[in-house]
Amino acid sequence: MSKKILICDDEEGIRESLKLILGDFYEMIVVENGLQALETLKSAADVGVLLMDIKMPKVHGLDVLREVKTKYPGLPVIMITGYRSVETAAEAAQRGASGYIVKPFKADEILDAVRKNMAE
Amino acid sequence: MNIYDIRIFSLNLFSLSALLTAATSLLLALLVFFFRNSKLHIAWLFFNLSVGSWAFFVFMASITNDPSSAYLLWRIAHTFGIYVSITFFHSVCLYTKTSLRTIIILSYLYGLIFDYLNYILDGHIIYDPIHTKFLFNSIHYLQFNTPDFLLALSPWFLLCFGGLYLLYKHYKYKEGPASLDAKVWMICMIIGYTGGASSFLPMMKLNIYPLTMFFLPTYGLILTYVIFKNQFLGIRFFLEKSIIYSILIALISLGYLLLVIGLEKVFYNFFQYQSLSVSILTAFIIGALILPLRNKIQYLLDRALFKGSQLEISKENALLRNEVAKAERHKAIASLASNIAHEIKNPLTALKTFTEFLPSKKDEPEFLERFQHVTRQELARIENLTKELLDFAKPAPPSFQKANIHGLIDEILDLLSNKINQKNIKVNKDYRAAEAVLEIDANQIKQILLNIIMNAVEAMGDMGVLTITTQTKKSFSTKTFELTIADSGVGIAAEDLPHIFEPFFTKKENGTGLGLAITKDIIEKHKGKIMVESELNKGTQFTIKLPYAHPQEEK
Repeated sequence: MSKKILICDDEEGIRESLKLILGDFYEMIVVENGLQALETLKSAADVGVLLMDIKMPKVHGLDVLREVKTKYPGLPVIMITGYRSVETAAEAAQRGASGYIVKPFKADEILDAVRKNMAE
Repeated sequence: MNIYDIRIFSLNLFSLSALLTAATSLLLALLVFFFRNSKLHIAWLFFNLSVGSWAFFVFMASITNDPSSAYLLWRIAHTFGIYVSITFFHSVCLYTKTSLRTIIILSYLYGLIFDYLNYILDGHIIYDPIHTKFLFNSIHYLQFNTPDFLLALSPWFLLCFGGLYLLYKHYKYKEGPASLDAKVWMICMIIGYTGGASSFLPMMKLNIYPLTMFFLPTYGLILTYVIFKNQFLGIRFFLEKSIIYSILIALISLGYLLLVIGLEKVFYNFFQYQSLSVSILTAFIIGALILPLRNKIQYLLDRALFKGSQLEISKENALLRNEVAKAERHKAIASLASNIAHEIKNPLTALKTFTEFLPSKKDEPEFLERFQHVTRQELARIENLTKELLDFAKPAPPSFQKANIHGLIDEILDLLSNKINQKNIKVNKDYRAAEAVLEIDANQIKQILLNIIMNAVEAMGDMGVLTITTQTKKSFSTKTFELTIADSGVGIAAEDLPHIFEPFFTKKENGTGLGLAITKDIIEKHKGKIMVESELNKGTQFTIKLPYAHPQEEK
């Protein structure tokens, strides 16, 4: 379990929540927007999974997803969102997301998703 | 030379009018038959058939030379004629949705009874024993036993007036294009009944030549015109336009020809003179008159019948616009609701996660510190969102008092002075307004000033310039206060500009997106205007115009 989790969310509340849930089991890199996430991925080679919010003000989560999947096809990306719609889920899956979690989430949901994707 | 000596196509005028009535009514019936799609249409179809059949047999009765045939033909005509009022009344009930089933059934029963009386005892109950009289030098005219006739026909008259009354009520109290139909129908029926009733006069021994019978084909043609133009009673046409035009041209040509020939005959009858040059002259005069005459007639008809129609159409338009506005409002509310839910999910998630971990981590000081921080922050967010939502949903009605707006601006600048100094922002105040006292709700105006100036400050980095100018603008009889707040900040993208006043529209990371929406609402409640100009990386300028006196208080 040497791989780190990259967490990308514009909201402090969500960042803190994810840190709380995953902090006991994994090492995390936490960034506030998509651009920072892409920067991090350039320099850090040991990121095992990316947890990202869909609705972010500067660059939209789905656009970052596309970028990440183009540059780092092997990196699993789990999207977190407030949108419950089937369309957004389908869109995310189409762009290569490995998981889709709806807010408000349970700690177990996050852990399961990360565990499953880390192993792959 | 008497009027009843005139012959056209060897027909006297009365017979001609009856024939034309039969033709127009049966044509109308055909029209209604082909485009029928409701019970109303069927009832009205039978009305037109009744009128047409009655007219046809009147025609036959008026041209026959044998008195006893005339007697029979007149009675056959009345057999159909009795149903004119009955079917009219029935149609009106269907049209106005008046439920008078018993009366309608009784009226048809009355029709049958009348038909029975028409023939029993050779008709001597209703008709004079002398049967017919040779009137107007040409017609074996039916003779009534006047008191018995009036009695026998009184329900017929009652049904006629009843139908007209129902139509009048409908026209009076219904709104919209439907009442237009009622109006047209009423007028046409009155024209028709007056014309048709004139045929009774000689029967009641009032030997007045029933020229007004010509009203009948007239009313028929008017109704046909209305059907074409306005879908009278919902009779809709789907004929090819070209077919209609061909038919119209054929009819017009025919009519023209008939008119020429007819006038020629009249001319001959009066002056015993006939010549080709007269015919040509007649044709020429009619041709020259017909176009402007046609337009004039159409104009007069439209004026008389459709006078209210512009109003009706605009009323209908207003109703439709209302519906569209309602639907849009509903859509806006639905999207607002989903936005709210979405906004709440974030703080909710954080609170949920942290409370989930509380039991297991309550002894870890680091956790407790994070817990306090996050919960306090997220709860404040929810509180703020609630407050802004309430402000937005139920804005407090402003209470208008005289206040010096320059003072309010200074207050807000004072409030934000820390932030302004921190960012080294230069503030240019250009208070040029001659009068700064306005009738406003001071608190609400402070709210919008705070919102806009705060936005301006946040949009600028270091060393920005904030310019606030005020002016009094005079035009004709009104005075307006104008305020501009300009910053040298990041600006707003052109594609975002039209949306900035929309609720939940924000480019800020922690914004609710309601600030400008509330601002706009407040300004509109003050009967003012707000406008914005912006250029990316150059800056943004808000212009606010407010009336000096709140309009309701103006004397």
